[in-house]
Amino acid sequence: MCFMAAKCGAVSSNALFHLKGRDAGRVMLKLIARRLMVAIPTVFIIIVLSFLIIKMAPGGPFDAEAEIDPEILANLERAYYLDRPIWEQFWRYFTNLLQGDFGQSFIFRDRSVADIIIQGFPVSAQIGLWAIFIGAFGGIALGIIAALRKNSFVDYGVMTVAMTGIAVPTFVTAPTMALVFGLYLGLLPISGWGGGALPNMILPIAALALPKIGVIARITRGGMLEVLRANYVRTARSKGLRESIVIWRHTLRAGLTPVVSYLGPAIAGVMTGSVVIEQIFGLPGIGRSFVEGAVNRDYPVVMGITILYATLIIIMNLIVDLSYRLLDPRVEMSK
Amino acid sequence: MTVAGLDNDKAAAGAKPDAGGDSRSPARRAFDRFMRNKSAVAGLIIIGLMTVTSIFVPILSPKDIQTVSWEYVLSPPSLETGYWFGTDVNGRDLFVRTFYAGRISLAIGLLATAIAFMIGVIYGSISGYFGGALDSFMMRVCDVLYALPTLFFIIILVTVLGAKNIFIVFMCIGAVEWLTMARIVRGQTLSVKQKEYVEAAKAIGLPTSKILARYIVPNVTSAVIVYVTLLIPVNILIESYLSFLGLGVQEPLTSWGLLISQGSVEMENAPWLLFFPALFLTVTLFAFNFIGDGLRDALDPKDR
Amino acid sequence: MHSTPRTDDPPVLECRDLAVRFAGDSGEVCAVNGVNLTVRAGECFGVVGESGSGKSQAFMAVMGLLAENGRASGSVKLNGREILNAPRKTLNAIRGVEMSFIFQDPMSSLTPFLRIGDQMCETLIEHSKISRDEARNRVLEVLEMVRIPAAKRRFGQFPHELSGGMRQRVMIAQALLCKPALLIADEPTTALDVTVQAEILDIFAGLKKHTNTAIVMVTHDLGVIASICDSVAVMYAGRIVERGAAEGVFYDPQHPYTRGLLRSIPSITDDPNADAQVIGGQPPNLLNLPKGCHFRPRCENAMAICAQELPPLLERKPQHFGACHLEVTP
Repeated sequence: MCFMAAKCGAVSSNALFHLKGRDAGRVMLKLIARRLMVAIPTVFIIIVLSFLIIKMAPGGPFDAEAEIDPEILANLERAYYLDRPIWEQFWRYFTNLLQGDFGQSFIFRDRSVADIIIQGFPVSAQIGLWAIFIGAFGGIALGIIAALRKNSFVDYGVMTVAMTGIAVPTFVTAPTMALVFGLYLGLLPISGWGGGALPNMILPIAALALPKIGVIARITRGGMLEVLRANYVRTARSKGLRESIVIWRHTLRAGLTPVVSYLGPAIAGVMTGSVVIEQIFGLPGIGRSFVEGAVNRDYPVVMGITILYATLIIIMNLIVDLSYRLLDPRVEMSK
Repeated sequence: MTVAGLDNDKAAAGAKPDAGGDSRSPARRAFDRFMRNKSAVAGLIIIGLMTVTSIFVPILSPKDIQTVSWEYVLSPPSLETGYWFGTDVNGRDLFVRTFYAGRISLAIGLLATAIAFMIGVIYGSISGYFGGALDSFMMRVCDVLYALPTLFFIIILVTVLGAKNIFIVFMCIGAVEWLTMARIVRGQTLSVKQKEYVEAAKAIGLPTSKILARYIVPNVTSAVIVYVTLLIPVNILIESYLSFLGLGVQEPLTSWGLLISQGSVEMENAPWLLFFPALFLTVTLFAFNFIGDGLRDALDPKDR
Repeated sequence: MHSTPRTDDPPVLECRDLAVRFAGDSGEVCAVNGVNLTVRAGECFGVVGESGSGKSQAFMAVMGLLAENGRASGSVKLNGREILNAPRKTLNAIRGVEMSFIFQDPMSSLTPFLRIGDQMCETLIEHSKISRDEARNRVLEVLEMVRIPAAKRRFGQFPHELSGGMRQRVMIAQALLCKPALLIADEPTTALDVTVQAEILDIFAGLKKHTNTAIVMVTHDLGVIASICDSVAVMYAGRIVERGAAEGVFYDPQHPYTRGLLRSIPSITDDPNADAQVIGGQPPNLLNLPKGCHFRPRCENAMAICAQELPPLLERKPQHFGACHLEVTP
């Protein structure tokens, strides 16, 4: 369903592109609506899938308490509706979900999944957004420098740093940084959230940002090199424009398009917390809740966080699609 | 009034004069380009060494991975004691354990990638070859699965399947990592199925399964070779994340991720427990990435 | 037909011993070799040759737009000033002002995400201290000069909203903004439909008539040359093999390659059942050029000496040069 792509004739493209102002807004709304028509079923399928996978899992949440009296177990299962047919369990879960009720945790009996998410999400999101912001800023800057000085020592240096950021896993860099800055130098706390105090956040953010810088620098460099070869950049040079204008005005927008497509899902990824970083630095984020939930078979927690994540990814991808349109006028409405 | 015998395809000439008139075959040229890439060749040598030593060091070493010696608990690396990489909290030799862990980590990385490769190629070529409603449906399924985060998905699979053994671990990784592969293969299949030799195979009435196996699959796999190479380090990394979180490889087996996890607990007293496994893992990941980059540059030289 | 080149006019472009080399995977390739040419004000100079003959790269070198692995040597003078391998800053002051380039593929040669008007105005604003409004007026003036209908509307449009012919007109207009002394057009009509080609050539003819701009027309299409060029250089394997007034080259070609080219033009009077006349053999491999005359393997008149010595470009008729060992043809 391309309104605008090259396949369609010039007539239709001309007709459509004269939409201005309110019409353009309506086109945008249509695009969002169409995307949501795909996104909502996707979220629904993910809810069904994660529900089924977990129901099919061997072993129940109360296995550990094998000593439990069968009668109490039956009561427990009744309390969580585990004795009902599966479709009824699903329907109950789904309708509650629509009201923002993700259910009760199996393990922490006094906490609802929504509570866990509400408490953990701000921690994860803060760390994640700072990390992706630093990663994007640093990565784009390094990537552009490397692309402009292609095959120079600067380029090799930047690419080596980037490769290091990618190849050295966070669970190596994080303990190392904790060891150096926390234990040896005693500059920063190595564990805990401290109510969101800045010193507590520095190490987790740095550990999370390093690989992002590496990945984004590589993507930026690749995108820039691709566009620097484009015919229109050569045209810009042939017009005698200053190199800075050639880069800023004629190269950057197209060169950064791949970064935008990377950033969408990546932002969703970091917001739901880095499982490993939260574990290492003992942060009360939802990544850690997820792993604890998985280990303890606390299914409502696992499902709740998965659904949150999937929804975030879909929203971010929608934003990415919309921003393509801002970056490149040719992309009117791809499918 | 265009002159016959002159063509206007100037792009091929001029800016890239090496495009024409080279007597070497494309594969040979790619190979030569790869061999000229120092970091890629170094990566290849490192992986070769890593594989050989991981297989043979645990066999040849006099010490076993489980031999406990209480007089050498947390003893630092030293040539005199014979514990070159030091020992862990149980006095086990880290040297032999690191190489043994390499076996498991490399094996899981390769096997998980192989599974992802198989699923991806079969899924992608079927989707691309048959097209139509089936294609849309299969790609829709991919889209849905894409919305699930890789590591989350694997963690769910691993916990749901329960048994914490390495077989489950690499099956789960492979079962999640095939999505991108399937997309690349599908795209490639769409173009390959237009080729004359596929038309010819259809015309002589070859069954679809044979067309897929003989003509489609061999011609689309080359397109994913770079992706496959770069997936191996990703899968090694995922395995070590899982092991680090206690969801992957379990004692008495060990992997780099598990060793690093144990090492980070003791990093204050015994930093070598973190250092050596981390070094081996990192060097391996570097090497695979260099090979992947080298392959990409060799197969698609425009980026140089 | 055409006025003869006014040899007393001062040269706008003068190339002496221009060579372009590319560092490739399989060694160095010499794409352009020993090219000498002079283009005068008001003259339209055609450069014809097949793909890989170096015709485009020679002028990329003039503009200082060679690919990174390319190196140019020799001398290029624009209005008497040496510009070959000049620093970027010097070149930027000249490019778009004293000399402009029109690229082959109008589809990909305009920045897709900038409006036509913005792309054109920036050239003017870069090179002269004028306000946006003045720039806009000049842009509209030039757009009308290349006969773009509804120029004001085009001003705010993006390149993809224009047809190929319209985009090429925009490219031409953009090149003319600062009234350059030299206009280099690299296959300006190749990517276009035949009817649009004629319209674009018409614009060039108009330019020639109404301005004193020197035009270099790089093409593989002899028809383009015949319709507007005063003088022609024929290039083969990086070298000029024949150069002279268009009439002379067309009616009394001095090189067997030129004769081959002329013969291969299909004519309406040809027997439609006869095979097309083409030049036999393979285009030259720049990595491995034959010794002696590069055209020898495809030449019907090859002699023993042709395998030994590269024929120099000599004046064989007044102001008409050819590089062939054959004596002046009957």
